[in-house]
Amino acid sequence: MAKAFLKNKVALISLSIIIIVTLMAVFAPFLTPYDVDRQDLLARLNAPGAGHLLGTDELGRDVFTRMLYGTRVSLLIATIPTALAVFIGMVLGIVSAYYGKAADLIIMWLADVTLAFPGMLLAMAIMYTFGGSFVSVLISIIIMEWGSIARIVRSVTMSIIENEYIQAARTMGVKKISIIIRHILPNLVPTLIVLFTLNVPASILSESALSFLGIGIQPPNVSLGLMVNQSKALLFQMPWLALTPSLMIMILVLSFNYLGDSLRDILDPKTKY
Amino acid sequence: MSGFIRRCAGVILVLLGVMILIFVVLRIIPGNPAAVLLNEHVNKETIERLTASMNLDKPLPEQFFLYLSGALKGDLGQSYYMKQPVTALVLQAFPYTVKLTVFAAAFAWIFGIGVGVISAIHHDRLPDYLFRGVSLLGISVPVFMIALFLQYLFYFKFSLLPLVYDGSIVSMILPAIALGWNSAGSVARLTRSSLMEQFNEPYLDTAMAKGLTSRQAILSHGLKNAMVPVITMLALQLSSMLSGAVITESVFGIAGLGKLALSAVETRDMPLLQGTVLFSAFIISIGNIISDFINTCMDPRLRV
Repeated sequence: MAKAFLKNKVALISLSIIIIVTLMAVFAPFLTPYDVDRQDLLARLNAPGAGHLLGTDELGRDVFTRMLYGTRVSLLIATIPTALAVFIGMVLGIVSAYYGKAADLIIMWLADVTLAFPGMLLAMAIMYTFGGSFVSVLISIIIMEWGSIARIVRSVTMSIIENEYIQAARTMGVKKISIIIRHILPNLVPTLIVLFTLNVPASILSESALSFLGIGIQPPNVSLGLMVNQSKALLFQMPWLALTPSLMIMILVLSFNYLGDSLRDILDPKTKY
Repeated sequence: MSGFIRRCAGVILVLLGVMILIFVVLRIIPGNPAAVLLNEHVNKETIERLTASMNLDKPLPEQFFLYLSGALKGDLGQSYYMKQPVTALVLQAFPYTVKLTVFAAAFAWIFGIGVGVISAIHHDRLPDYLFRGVSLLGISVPVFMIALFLQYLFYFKFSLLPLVYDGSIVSMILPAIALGWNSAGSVARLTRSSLMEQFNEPYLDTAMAKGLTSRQAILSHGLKNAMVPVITMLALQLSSMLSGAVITESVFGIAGLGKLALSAVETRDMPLLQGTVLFSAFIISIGNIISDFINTCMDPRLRV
């Protein structure tokens, strides 16, 4: 498996890009002499060049620095809510497939209900109630994503249960919970990895869209989507202000999409989702 | 046919869940929306009158049943901010979103299926690599980036197309491309893989034995069968398009559902937000039923 991964150039390149961007975001304070919030009103709206690598914004803040800090938010949003959604989807999907009956009906009904909304509109209702913040973006991403994950986990678990060794374990009287932990979970791991990687881009895009609309992450916090929102008025005079954070989002999303695609080919060649 | 009825019953149950969820989400934080709306400086009497007129003084279960029975009659309540019936506002905005979505879908389908077919026919050769790159780029670009990029290029640089929507068809071109771009990528990817699955099917050999070239066989027989999953995706696309429409409408100033919902969040207009979200979930459920129906028509195996 590791060999197949090392042979897959696309997977390697996209993983390296993700690692480099992550390192840049983590070590942001060491990569830039500027402070993320420091305004320099004498150096407003500088074009990219020496001193300010990507120029400065309308308050004289260094765009490169802000982009690094915005990337931190994107990466946090990429991992935390996606992991939580995969975890919730996994638990509910297994319960649905393995316990069946009422549990199955209720869980799948709930999944159908959350999937019946256009994600962005449901997220807007959550923003209305909890206000624009990291936590409310996190909640709305979990609500948007858990349903389809639970459905896929459910169907994969059902096909795992068909295996003879699980039937055998059942006949021997092994407890349900130990069958789940010892036999079902290990078989689910590839699916879960692929689901996580493929949901990361969706999470990044949702956060940036909400922040772009001005109802997600709020100033003075930084976010790539918010940076585009703040610079769209200057689109024609200084297009790079909107372009650079957008490009960063695109690079992250593209890398995760490529990585997820390759991982699916390597880990799970038969399934398509 | 009984399957179809069962499906409809399922949709009704889901819609009931949709109503409960949106009702709960918007009321989970305690506090009187009427007081927030009136800025809390107004005298108590005014707050009480408004509270009563919005049924906010009644217990929550009763509020829910009033809202449910209203919705069944097509009454989604009164907008706090615009002082008009929500149903009227939603129906006013809906045609704009329909127009935008139809144009965007047309772009996504023509472009996506075209790219997917070319990719599949030339699979694992240069055009395929190129187009696969393009379609993955398609699904990886944020909607607002495409929208702003198109505005920059076609309005500012070449002054070919209008900056915002002004009612004309020409001004709908940029919003439609911006919204359809992501879907075009997904359609292309699915068309490619679905068409390539057909390559090994024996009916293509039969068609070729009857004298068709392999390309003719693929395009006239293979493509039809390959379209079944692509049409299933139509329903999913509808949902993501309504999400994307929020951004496209706000960038291009189109007075559709997305813009209505956004202004409802900004003006803290709860009934308007509730109505818009509910209406869009309703549209998606209808879309699901229609796509099921088309699928059954196209694939006789599904008619059980």
